[in-house]
Amino acid sequence: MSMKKIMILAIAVASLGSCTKKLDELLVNPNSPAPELASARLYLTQVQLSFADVFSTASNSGGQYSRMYNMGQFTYLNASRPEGFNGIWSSAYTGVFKHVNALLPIATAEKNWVDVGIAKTLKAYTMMTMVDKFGDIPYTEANLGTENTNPGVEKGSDVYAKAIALLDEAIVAFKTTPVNAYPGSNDLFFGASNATGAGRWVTAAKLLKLRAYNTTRLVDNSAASKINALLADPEVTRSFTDASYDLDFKFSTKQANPNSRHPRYNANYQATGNAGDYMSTYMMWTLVQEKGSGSNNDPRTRYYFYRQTTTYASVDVNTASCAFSAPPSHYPAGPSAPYNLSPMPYCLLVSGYWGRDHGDGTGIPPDGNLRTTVGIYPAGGEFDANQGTRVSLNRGGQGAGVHPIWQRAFTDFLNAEAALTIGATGSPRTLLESGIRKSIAKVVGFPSAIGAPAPDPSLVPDAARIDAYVAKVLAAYDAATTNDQRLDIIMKEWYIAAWGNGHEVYNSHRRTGKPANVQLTKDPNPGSYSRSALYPASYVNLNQNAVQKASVASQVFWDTNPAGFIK
Amino acid sequence: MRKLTLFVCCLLFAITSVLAQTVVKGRITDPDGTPLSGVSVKIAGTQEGTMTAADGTFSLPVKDASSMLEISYVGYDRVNIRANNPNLGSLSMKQTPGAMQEVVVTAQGIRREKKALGYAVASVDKKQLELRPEADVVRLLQGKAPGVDILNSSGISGSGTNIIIRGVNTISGTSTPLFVVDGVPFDASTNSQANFQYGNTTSSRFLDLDPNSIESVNVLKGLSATTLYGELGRNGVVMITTKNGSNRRTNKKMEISLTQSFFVNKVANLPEYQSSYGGGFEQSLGFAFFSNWGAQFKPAPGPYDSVNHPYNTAALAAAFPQYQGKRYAYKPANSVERFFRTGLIRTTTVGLSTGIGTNGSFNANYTYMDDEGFTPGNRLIKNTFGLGGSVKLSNKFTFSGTFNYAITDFKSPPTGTSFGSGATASSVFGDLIYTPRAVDFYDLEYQNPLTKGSIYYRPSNDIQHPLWTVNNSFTGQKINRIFGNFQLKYDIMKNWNIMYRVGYDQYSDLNYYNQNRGGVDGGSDFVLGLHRTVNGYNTIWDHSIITDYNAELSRSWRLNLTAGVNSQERIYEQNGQRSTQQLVYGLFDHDNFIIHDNLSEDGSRLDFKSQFLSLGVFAQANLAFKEFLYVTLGGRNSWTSNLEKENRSLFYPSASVSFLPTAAFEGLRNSRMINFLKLRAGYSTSANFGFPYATRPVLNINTNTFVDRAGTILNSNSISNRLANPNLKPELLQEYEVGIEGRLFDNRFNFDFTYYNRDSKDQILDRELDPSTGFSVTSINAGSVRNYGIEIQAGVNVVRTRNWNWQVDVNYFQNRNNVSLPSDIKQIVTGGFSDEGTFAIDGKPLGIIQGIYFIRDSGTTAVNPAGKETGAYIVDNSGNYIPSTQIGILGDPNPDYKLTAISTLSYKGLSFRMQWDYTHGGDIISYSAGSVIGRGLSKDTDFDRQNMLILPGVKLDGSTNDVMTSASQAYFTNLSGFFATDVIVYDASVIRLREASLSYSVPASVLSRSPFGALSITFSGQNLWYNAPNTPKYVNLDPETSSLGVGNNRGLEYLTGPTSKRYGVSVRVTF
Repeated sequence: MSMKKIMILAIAVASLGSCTKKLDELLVNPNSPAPELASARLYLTQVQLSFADVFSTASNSGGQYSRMYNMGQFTYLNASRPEGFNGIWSSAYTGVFKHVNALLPIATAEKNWVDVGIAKTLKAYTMMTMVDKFGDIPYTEANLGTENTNPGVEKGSDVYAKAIALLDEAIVAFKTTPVNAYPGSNDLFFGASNATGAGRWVTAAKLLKLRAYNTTRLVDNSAASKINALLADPEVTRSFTDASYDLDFKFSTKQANPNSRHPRYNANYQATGNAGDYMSTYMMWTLVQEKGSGSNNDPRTRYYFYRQTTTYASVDVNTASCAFSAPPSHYPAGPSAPYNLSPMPYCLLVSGYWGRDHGDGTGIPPDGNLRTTVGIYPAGGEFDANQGTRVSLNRGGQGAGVHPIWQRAFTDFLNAEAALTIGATGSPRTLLESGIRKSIAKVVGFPSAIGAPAPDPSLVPDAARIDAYVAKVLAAYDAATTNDQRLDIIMKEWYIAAWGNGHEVYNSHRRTGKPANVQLTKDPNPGSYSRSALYPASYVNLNQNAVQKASVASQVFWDTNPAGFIK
Repeated sequence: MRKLTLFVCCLLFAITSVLAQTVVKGRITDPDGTPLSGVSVKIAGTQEGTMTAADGTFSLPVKDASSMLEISYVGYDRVNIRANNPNLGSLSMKQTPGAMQEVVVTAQGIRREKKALGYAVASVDKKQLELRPEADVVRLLQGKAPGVDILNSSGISGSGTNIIIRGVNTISGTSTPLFVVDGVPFDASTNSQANFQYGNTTSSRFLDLDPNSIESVNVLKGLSATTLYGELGRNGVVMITTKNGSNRRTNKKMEISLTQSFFVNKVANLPEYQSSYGGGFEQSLGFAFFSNWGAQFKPAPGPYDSVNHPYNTAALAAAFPQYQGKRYAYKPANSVERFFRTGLIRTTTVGLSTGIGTNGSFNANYTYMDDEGFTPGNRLIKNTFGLGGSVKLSNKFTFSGTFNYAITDFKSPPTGTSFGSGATASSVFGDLIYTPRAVDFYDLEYQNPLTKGSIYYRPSNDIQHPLWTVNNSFTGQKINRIFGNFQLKYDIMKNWNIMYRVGYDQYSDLNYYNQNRGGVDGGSDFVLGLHRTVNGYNTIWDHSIITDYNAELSRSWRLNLTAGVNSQERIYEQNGQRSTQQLVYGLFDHDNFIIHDNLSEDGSRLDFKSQFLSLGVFAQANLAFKEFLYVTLGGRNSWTSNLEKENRSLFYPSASVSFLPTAAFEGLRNSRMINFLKLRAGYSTSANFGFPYATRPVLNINTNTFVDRAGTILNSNSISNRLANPNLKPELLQEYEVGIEGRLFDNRFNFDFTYYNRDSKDQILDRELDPSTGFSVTSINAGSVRNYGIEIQAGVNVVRTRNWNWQVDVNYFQNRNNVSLPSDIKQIVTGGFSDEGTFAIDGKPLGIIQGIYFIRDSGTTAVNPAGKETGAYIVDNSGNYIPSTQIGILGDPNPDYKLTAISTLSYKGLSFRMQWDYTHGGDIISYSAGSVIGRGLSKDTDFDRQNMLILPGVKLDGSTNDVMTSASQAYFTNLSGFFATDVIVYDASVIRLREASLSYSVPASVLSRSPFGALSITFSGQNLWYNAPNTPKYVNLDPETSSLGVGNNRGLEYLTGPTSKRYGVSVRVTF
């Protein structure tokens, strides 16, 4: 008996002894390296790509509420479902914040100060965007891993203050020398290959501070002085005349492996020949008809929108059922035939600008090959030269678009707004004209900037055309009798110039209520305008400390406007 | 070893010579020639006796050659033989009629008398598995073993199958039981290359087994039964003994059997469509819409008889000149019904078995199975070849082994999920069943002759034509698999042996997804052509050394000791490539594609390796007192490679007892009322060590993540969203079970009742994290799942005469489960999506369904867990229900109970068998139902649509709703499930005629002068009829499907495809 036991034991010990080492070896994942091998520069790529994702979602949803993009649900609630924001939440926290936090110590040790500054700048913008979107958010308690698996929220105003402080830190970092190695092609905004790039980032960080002060001006008595100080800063003023200071995230034409194209290009220039999105009827009407149609429309129209059909030969009850019913009774009355001209657009516009009304949640008709879609600016699509043909995978600028985070035209409109409302320095009228001209110049120059085929010269707006448009806007401005009317004109022009940045116009819409003549929702009872997004499902469902908001009427800290201020 | 043997031999020799007695030797077998161990051999009228060894042999010193030997074994007729010959040769014992005390194969291949087991074992013999029109052995087990819950992912031939034993006991681990074939582990994975949204056309690897070559299946359900298998047996063990591995010694001459079957395979469930209205909304002529709320068909009062031909467009003028200027008839079509075909299933099996002298046996068989699915493009071809044999050598060694080779070739069109509004990815079913009634896709070419692209009824061409999918999109798997074992046994003494066994299971799995360019669904990667090939290599090496010792401690006490060491190594390695952008239409070769990548459709890596090693030492002692009390004590210590050194070892014990009152008490021994009664109880533990690589953080390397405008390729690093946990510990599972079994009334009634309770505490669970923590998931030890339930097997021999026999067997299974989570975890998504999926929530059953619901005027939760709705729906000013902003509990997908009744009626050589299955309760979200109702297709919506409707509910001010809506609006916006899913949650109770068969065996007397040994013909069918009474009448929903594929979860159905109905005939002859 004992012999048997000994034998078993011997076999067991022998086999286990030889296998213990193997058990240790198998703990190591053969598929991925250990985190110690990380590179800060490679983290920087991750930060920028996640940042672009954060911006895309913020811009899409904000643009929908403010009618820059189409909102395809009857109610604001349905258009801002919690599950729709899971992506931006994880892009911000597990994309931007986590990798900025991991990057900073390594890049600091390596003396790669521009990397440090870029990381801090993008983190700050992301923090502010998350507050703009959600209000109070987890920040101090966030990104601690196992230390806190249920981060609690922090006041939006505190997060904003920390973001502004972070921008100051970034400015210090950009100016720290010597720099070990510049990010070069790893910088997807400026390609900061040298100190010039670092200088552009200094300006960008200061412009983002300027933007933050204006965004929060309703709750900050000192906003005007802060804005004035920055507007006088030479590191800011140099961007007024030089478009190379525009903070644009730049996409390229690479279609696959990896897809590096503008997301709106991807969604709308599909291999099936169908556009995925609808354009907002209001946004198109603003450019095409509001100030007069035909040669009087906005000079940027052909750059902003591409029409798959230039006629309405395909209109029938299947493809555009709204054309066969009267405008909703809650729309203001006005001339309605053949295409609604004013005071509020409805359904079809002139010449094939095929969009969808705000808050139209009816079934999707088979019109993917008929819808007007994004043009060459800023998504890198097709220039509209009256082709009237379907989209395809590689048309136009092939997706080499930009996310216009901040451009010099925006600075002018910001300045005009601040001058008109809180008495910042500058002439609103002059700034309005300057903003329009800078925006048009940017747009008209865009095809060559991204290496797209040059548009038919006869369709490129000439100086006379641009002057005529500017004159029309200024005439309206001069005819305005109240500051509210003047603000409306300024904000409308900013709204147009910001095409591609739905987040900025969503903020302005909540801050100023402008533009005022927006198209009403198709349903007379759309619920409250989305004054902030509901918290994402992934936060509410997984975080013990999460409390969902009562409704989308909940306002962020800098929005002190009354309830029902906008529809 | 040799010294020991020598020592033992010397000792034996010494004893023998001292006593100078005659030693009588013999060997006891059952009628099939299988050796019986533990048979009592006694000299009549004395206390002297012995027991047979594992190979059935005994030797007993006998003083008087005229003594009688009494040979007894429970369940067998007693044999008396005179000890007048030193070598009595082979003696076969006859089973007592109606006896249940068969010998069963238990863990690690140990054969034990069933009466001695302190736990429940369900046995399914070959008669219940062979000659069936189903290639998947697990699907054949449906209803046949209480405690075993089986769910198909769809009716696609060869699609994955879910098997769960005694409930899911893990929140985020795997629940697939361990498969053991002929004593060694067998991989039963489902190696999906992308998540369920891309379809469920990945086979479960038990598909490589051939049901026709299986001798028996024993399901070890509880931990008491599986402790010796260690942590791998924690989910139960399906032990399969093949005909080749059974080593059934036959003294018969060589026997060859030949079986040929033909079955048809048909679609079992399609909606009944209404034929009054066509496509569109609000009764307008909307031929090109997805939805079917359009104009009425002619005759009166239908206003339209035709529409513009969908191909009569300028864009298609060159491709289809024949349709230019043409109209298209506006009338109901039946293209969906026509889409499905009648598949043919052919099975040929050849088997051979023979004895080799008295010491050996040899078996071989080959099966060819060709299963054509009811879906065009779906086909499963299997070739399985097996050999097995055993030979006893003169030097006390017994060598046996099996060798199996399986070639499985499975193909199917893709079946990506669909929410009833276009498919997520390419999918043959995604848009099919809600095809608008006026669309006859057999009238509409599916392919543009110029571009080869899909073309369909919508001018925007944004739905993939189902026939294009069938002809251009292919998924499949090709398996080459070798598995089997070799074992060498050495008899140290007559009652002590030692065995070494090596098991091997190796396969290569070529998994492909091919789609020509020109599709529509799934984004540009699909549209431009896709070719993804993955080679997976799976290896299992299993080594065991097991020693088995039998001793008669006294007249009353017997002891059996088993001890062993085991090492099991599982390696899965795969590499793959995914190419997109096909250059030349029609050719699937990576060279013919422009873009190459190694990420799957869902972004997961195609190249990876996973390796796992488990070492175990185990022992088990069985102590028997007389013939009525049996105690088993066992335990195993495991060490695995999944956890850090300090946490990787765990010991887990088990104990069970079996008591037989009918053998213990004199008064019960010869009772005609109570023929047999057994009480049993067991307590046991097991472990779970999680999955590989969860303890150490890793860096994700993302090469080629972005290309800038200058063409510079950027790479990136990212910190894995999985937060590593180095302190992860093994989880301990504890289970007790008690049972009673017996036979009553002259063996006419038998029953077996089991109650079990299993707690899986400190689970290794994947906790999803709020991304604001910086991570999305981590493995932690927390939470527990309790499963408790009842298993009942009962049988009545209603009629038992010379020619007639009618047996009715009933299986009942109910399982309840309950999750506890620590208070800092709100809930865990276990399947589906975070906004609509299955969840683990504290105090609720595991896998409870949550989703968006329409709010009601009391409380915020639409349906409480008991399934009772509270409050009226609130209606907004436009007459629509209001979706909730948060998810709430919509239903519990776990069935209340499952009941199976099997009736076998025989008259002479004729036998008629039926199996009825009933599942009570369990909820399912069905987008199939939602889309055919919400889009106005099934007869459920065949009402006068001119009338306005008022949805039941209350208005915002609390008054009864009186806002009128149109039929389109009421159904599409409110009742379709497109905006809130509580309206498409159904009770999944279903009754089903699972199997029916009629067979006739030609009597032996007729065959005696023919060359045939046996001849039989069987007509049989599977899934012949079902009814799910609580689902919409005309949808014909079969709730026995799951879009979540193989895993722990059920209850979500995203147009996963219909189920199949099969019937046909088989002929078997033996020579």
